[in-house]
Order: sequence, then C-alpha cells, then structure tokens
Amino acid sequence: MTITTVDGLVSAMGNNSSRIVIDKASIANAAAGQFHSLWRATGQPGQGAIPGAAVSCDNTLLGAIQFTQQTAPATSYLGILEGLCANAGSTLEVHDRLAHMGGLNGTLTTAQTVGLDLNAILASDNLDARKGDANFSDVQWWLEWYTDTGGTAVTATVNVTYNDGTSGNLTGISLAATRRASFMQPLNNLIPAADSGKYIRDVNTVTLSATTGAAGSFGVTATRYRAALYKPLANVRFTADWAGLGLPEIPNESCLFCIQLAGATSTGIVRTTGKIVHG
Amino acid sequence: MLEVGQLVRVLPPFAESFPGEYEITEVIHHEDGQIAYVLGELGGFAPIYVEAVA
Repeated sequence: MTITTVDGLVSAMGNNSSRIVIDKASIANAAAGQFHSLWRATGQPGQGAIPGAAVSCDNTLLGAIQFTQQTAPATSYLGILEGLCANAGSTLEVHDRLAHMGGLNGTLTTAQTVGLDLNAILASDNLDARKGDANFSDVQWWLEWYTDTGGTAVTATVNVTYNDGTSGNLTGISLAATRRASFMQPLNNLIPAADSGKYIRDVNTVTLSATTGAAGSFGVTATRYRAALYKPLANVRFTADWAGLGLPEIPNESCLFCIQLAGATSTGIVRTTGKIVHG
Repeated sequence: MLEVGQLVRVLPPFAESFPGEYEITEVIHHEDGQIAYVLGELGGFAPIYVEAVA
C-alpha cells in the first residue's frame, strides 16, 4: 500500500524509514552556476566507478545511496533532507541515475558510439517505473566528465533518437577549454526548434569538432530528478521537509546520487542526512 | 592547409548549428599531429569539418 494520509506519513517517518547519509568531499575546479556530479566524490556513499559500455544503474552500485527495498504494494518516498555545504549559494539535487556510459575520448574527431538506449533496457533494474512518464519527458540527459579533457575549446554534436522514433542532432554545444572532471553538461535544452515537443530516449553518438588536445574521459548519463536542497549560506544547516521536497516516490532499485549546482569554484564539502520513508 | 584570416564554412554534422561563414582566428598544431582551426568563439574545428569559401 502507498502512503495516502498525513497520519501514514508521520508513522512512516518515525517507524518505517531508511536513514540516509550524504557526506562528500569537495571537488576542485568547479564553476559557479554549473552542474557537477558527486558520483566520483569520495566519502559516503563511496566513490562510484567510471562506467565503460552503456549499462543501466541500480541501488547496488557503489556510489548509490542505500535504502531498504520494499515488497509491492509498499513503496518508498523521500521524506526529508537536512544538510549544509561549505560554500554558500549551492543547491544539492538528488537524482536517480538511470543509466550511464563512459570512455568517450577528447582527441577523436569521428563520431563516437554511445548506444545508451533507455527504450531497449526498460526491463532492466525496474527502469520502466523509474523513468517516469512513458514518453521519457522526465528523463534528463547529460555529458558527464570523469577526467579532464584538453585545453582547446571545441563544439560537440550529439545524435539522439526521440520518443517518436525519429533521430537527429541536438544543437551543437561549445565546450570551453579544459572541461574538468565532474562537470555535467545538460543536453535536454539542446533539442532544436525543429524537434520541439519531442523527448530524448536514446543517445547514439557524440562528435567533437576537433581534438581538445587530451583524451580525458567523459560519457553520457541519464537521470531522473527527484528533489533538491537549497543551501544559501555556508556552513548553515537547512531543511527541506516532505512538502517542500514534493514527497517524490523512490521506486525499488533507484540509484540515488547527487548533483551539485555549485556556488563557487569548488563543490564544497557536503553534509546531508535525511529519511526515505516506506509504506 | 588553411590560414588565419581565411573565411570558411562549417560542414555537417555541425553545419546546422553554425550556418554562414566564419574567419579562422588561430591555427593550433597539437603534439599528436592533429590540427584545429579556431573560428573565434565557436572554438576549434578539424580540417574535415571546414571548407574554404571560394
């Protein structure tokens, strides 16, 4: 059964929840106003591995926030987050990491195969439920950096397949010199006007306009946003309760991890706790 | 071999995003032998992705 009353929520908060702890070291070389993955940040949960070929992600991966799996019809919700950051003006977003791939090379100018096709792996790791809307509109797509690429600014063109089965190139995105490890480049906002109203279900290839000068390592990641905690002041604990979070459902096998919208030139030490409630 | 100051067009798959003509502002010779033609704020483009404007 799902939680449908405030009484049920209060009971679950007190008696049927999984305590979560997010305690992550700061990542250097960030930039204010840009998204940075904490997947590779050390601390708790542990440092996630750099992916290879395209695969779905689940709660058992190192790097995922752990919570007790439920037996249907019981399910889980994010009930509260409270935490701080060493830097002011940062926002901690909690995402379900649906699938990822890595190993893209910053020196290749040919089309590099990505092959991250959510539609083809919906039967894996409860992805059909975790992805949200059937038209893939809840899925956010990113280029994610694992090690720095080189100092030459280049343009990336990403070829995708949309929810209606048609394929095309996203608008080219200029990548500044020396994209740093942990940087996350959102892709959804690059859907061109000609494909307005469509949603990405598959990333096929990434093509760089020139070598950046260093191979580095980057990849493509698909996530579903679940909630966020805004931390306007440094080293001050802020709280977002169930109403502020929107009580987002956390389906079984969700691979929860954090993305920091940085407010400074590092992500800052992040210390957050919370509860995933069950019922 | 193109030179700084030459006008070029950007070729597919980048042409849709960057139609028109651009001036080469810098030529970068990387250690691995690859060349990048820098088109101002657009950044670098490999020789296979640009053509000189006649």
